[in-house]
Amino acid sequence: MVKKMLNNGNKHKCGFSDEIVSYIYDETGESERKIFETHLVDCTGCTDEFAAISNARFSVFEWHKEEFAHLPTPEIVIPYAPKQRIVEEISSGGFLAGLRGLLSLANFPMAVAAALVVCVGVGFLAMNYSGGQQNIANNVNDRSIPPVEPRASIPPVVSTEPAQRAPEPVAIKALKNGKVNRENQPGNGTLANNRQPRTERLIKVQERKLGSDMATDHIPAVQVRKTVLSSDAENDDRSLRLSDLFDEDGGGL
Amino acid sequence: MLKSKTDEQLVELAISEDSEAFGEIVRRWERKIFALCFGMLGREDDARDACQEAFIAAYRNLGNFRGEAKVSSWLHRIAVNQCLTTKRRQKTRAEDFLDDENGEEERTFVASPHLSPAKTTEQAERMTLVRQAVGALPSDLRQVIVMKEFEDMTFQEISETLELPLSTVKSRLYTALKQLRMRLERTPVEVI
Repeated sequence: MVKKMLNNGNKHKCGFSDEIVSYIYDETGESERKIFETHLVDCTGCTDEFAAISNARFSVFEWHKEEFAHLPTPEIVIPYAPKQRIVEEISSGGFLAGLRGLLSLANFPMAVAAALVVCVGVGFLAMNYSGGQQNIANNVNDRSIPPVEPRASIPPVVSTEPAQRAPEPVAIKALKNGKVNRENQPGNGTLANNRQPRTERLIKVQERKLGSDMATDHIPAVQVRKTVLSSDAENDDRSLRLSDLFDEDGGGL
Repeated sequence: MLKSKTDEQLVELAISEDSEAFGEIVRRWERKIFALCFGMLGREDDARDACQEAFIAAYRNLGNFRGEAKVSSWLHRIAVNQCLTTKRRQKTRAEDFLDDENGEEERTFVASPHLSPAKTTEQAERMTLVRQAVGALPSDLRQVIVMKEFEDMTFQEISETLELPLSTVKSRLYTALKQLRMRLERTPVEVI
């Protein structure tokens, strides 16, 4: 530095270019600044150079001030990663947007968990539905049985009145034979005639439900009664015979 | 929270997909990068586009930042490369702003209320000359002068940013100002 200052010539010989720039921008130390100022007073070349550089620097400074300083900083828009976009969609979008976000590949574990929950729920509903169907089927079968139940428990006397034991077959039979007086029923006339096909369908349905033995007249009540009466007759006959023997023994005593 | 972190820490957070961290980097550097782009390109619109593209490029290349250089150096390098790319595009379209006559209509000058209309016109002409003179400098010299005048960086900061010796930065700035002076002397305009 001292050697440079002693070389009091033009800038090329002085080699003060760096110091000129540092001095212009006020980035020199205190001691260096004083040395350069001392040199500047004595060196005409460095003085001219300093003035020219300062002028150029001022032009740039002015350009910055006039054309740039008042400009607003541009708004930078960064296209962030898809993961953040999904989070934004979920937070800002509606239900479908959230669902899309949940089912996307980025949230794969969440999607699997959601699918598992849905599958378990559907399976539970399906099991309940099939169980209900079986109960319904059982009930239907129970309803189709009734002809068997009364036949086992009905006393012989009831068997003589088939209309009370199973009113439907009697009604069906009456309909078939045309014995029902439609004129005394509330649904007579044209309406009754219109209902004729429906009653026929009902007859067929009842026949299927009750079975051939109950829906038709092929099971005679007399036959049932005959069987019962025969067993009673045997009991009566047997008791008579024992009484006869008892009488004989008792009579002997 | 993020404001207390260094640029390097913010980049690490941004790499781990923290968009807020990169947003903080943008907020810290957008004005300086915009100034650099403006000084390099000389036009506001081009500078805005280049600034935008530079930050997008920085975001996309976060994974390539290895922490060997400062974040400021990394951003400046990206911005300068973006400006040079923009200038190459302008040349291919024959729209280099040095020869652009129509561009004057797009630029806005803030006229001082103390200046007469004649002085205002003279000032506008001078700004045009300065812009053209700066634009005619080699990119390495132009970069240094823009970082110094527009970004208000110290020599030490420029040295670290460009990863150049301090003496090289000073000599480049000296050479840039000297060439600028020579170009302005060819078309002398009175300094107001």
